[in-house]
Amino acid sequence: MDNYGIATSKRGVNVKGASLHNLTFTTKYPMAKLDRTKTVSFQNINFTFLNDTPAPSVGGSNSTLVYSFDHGYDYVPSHWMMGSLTGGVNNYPYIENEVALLSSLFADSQATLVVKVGAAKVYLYVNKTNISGLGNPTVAGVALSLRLYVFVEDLLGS
Amino acid sequence: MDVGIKISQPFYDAQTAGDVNLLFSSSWPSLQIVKDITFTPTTTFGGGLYSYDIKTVTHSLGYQFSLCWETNSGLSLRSGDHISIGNGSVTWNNSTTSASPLPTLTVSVKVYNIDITKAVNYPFVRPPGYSAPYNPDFGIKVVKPNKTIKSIDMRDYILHSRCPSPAILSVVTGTTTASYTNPEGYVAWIFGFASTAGGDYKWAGIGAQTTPRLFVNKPTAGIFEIDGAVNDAVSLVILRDPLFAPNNVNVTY
Repeated sequence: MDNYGIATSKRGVNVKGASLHNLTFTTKYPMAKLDRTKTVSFQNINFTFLNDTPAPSVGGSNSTLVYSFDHGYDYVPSHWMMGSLTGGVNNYPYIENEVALLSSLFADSQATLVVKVGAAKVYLYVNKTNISGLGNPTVAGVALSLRLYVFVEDLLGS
Repeated sequence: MDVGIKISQPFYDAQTAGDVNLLFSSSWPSLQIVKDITFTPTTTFGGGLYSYDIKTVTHSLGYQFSLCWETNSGLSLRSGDHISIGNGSVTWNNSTTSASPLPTLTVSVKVYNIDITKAVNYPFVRPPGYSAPYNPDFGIKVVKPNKTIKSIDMRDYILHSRCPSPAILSVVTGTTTASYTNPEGYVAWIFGFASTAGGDYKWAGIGAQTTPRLFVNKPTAGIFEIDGAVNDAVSLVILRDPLFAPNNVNVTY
């Protein structure tokens, strides 16, 4: 099928026949869109844990929902999250891949922050493990700043 | 002289307006989705354990920056370290094993318009701290084939000035290691990948125990660094936020 629409190439590159790498824009492919009329599209979330989440059982793990919000779509949108920890036991400066290490005592006694997205809401969970029974990884006192995108595009690529 | 298409916000001259006062510019290296791939992985039982089968999907392009999400029971989780990037392909490998049957997943992969093996660098434009309200009477929209230009579903559009995208700042390539300095104190989105002996590019986790791994504020504040194994081909993909102000939220638990 012929390619219709608009294409702009990098300076010095002939737009005719330019490879994708040499195009700054083409209407052949949809943009990864963030709807500026929705406040959830691009958020800075400053999260403070004044309290700890429940401790997992010895030898086990648990998951506690700590925050959620409606994203305003009726499908599962794609999302990105990153951020930085500003307090707590582990002061990692950067989070990626929606799993942030909040606290740890040992390798299998950890608390992590996880972002999951459903067809109506975005959910933030604290997942804790205490596999070897070495103690509860507390999150009280942890502060973090999250940057979160909720894209227009759904995961099924419609 | 800049060439292409520019659309300014109301009351701004498109010829002289700064980037933050534009609704659209064809010079913005926007993030575009070149392919959407969705599949349901199969599982194999062997040695007393269930495991997910590795899946490779192909596209007709190069070493394209890709991300994946895994949906389980209606909830999606982005799982960058479960994919590796090849030349015209993406391979999904979730190494979870279980003595019980594994949950059924739906895996969604988005392949973007960035070739992680080709270095680029674009000027930094700091996202604004304040944005004017959206005005539907100004802008540009390009609808997807077979969709109506009157659609209210933003998914139906290739481009809509109501919905900007993250923009590419830089792709930094190197051997064994590469680094990027945050511009003007701005914390960019950054993704790292490394290829060993010409193989697929694997995800570099933040502070991972083994290579490839991504470090923040190393060696000094404001610098990102990827460390691969010796002689690995490494790549950093850096993006900036779109040019509208974020919504700030304070949450206390």
